[in-house]
Amino acid sequence: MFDVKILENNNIEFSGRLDATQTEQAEKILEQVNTSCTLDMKSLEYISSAGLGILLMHQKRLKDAGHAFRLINLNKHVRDVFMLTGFDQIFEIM
Amino acid sequence: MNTLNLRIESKTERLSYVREFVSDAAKKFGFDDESIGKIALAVDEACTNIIKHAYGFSPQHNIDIKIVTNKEIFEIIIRHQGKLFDPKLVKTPDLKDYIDHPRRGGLGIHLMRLLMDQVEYKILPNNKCEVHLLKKLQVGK
Repeated sequence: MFDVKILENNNIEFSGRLDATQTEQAEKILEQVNTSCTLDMKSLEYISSAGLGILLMHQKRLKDAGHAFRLINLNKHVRDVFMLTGFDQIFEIM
Repeated sequence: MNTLNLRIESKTERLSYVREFVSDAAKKFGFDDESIGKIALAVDEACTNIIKHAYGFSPQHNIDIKIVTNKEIFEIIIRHQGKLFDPKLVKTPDLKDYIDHPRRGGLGIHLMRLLMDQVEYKILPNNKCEVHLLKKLQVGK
C-alpha cells in the first residue's frame, strides 16, 4: 500500500511502502511539481532503490530549474537507506 | 538446518508478500528490527532485478525463494530461469555520475552488497540462475 498526496503550499506527502510497484504513482505527482517543494515522509514506512531513483531524478530536475526539494520526517529505516547509499549527502534532509 | 520455501509469480505486485515472508523468518531467527529491514530490502532488490531484467516484466514466470538457516547463518536463495547476466559487469555506481545523470534503476545490486554480509550469483547447469544473500546473526548483540 502506497499513497501520495499534494498538500497545501504545493508540498507532498508520501505514505506506506514505496517499491518498484508504486513508482509510477509517485512519479505522476512529482511530475506536476514545478516549484520548490517539501516532501513529508513521516508516514513512509519503506523505500527501495526504485523509489530512490525517481526522487533523485526529480530532485535534479527541480534543482536545475533553481528550485529546492527538501525531505522531512524520515523514519529510521528510510533514513538508513539514504545513509547507506550516500543519498543523505545529495538531498536536503530535515 | 531448517528451510522455508516460497514460489511467486514474476510480478512486482508480489514484492510486499516476499518482504513479509522474509521478515517473519528473520524475526523468528532472532534478528533485530534494523537487520530485518535490511534483509527484506535486499531480497526486494534481488527480486525486482529478476522481474525487470531476467524476465523483462513478463508475469507468467516463477521465482523460487528458499531460506536456509544453520547455526548463525541466515541465507536466502532466489532462483529463476530468466535471462542470465554477469554481476561482475555491474560496477559500484559512481555517485557523482549518478547525480549528474539520474535514472531508473542501477542501484539495486550496489544496495544488496551494502545490506548483506555476502551476495553471490550462481549459474546452474539447466539454465537456472541463483542469487544467494547471506546474513550472519551477531550472537550476543
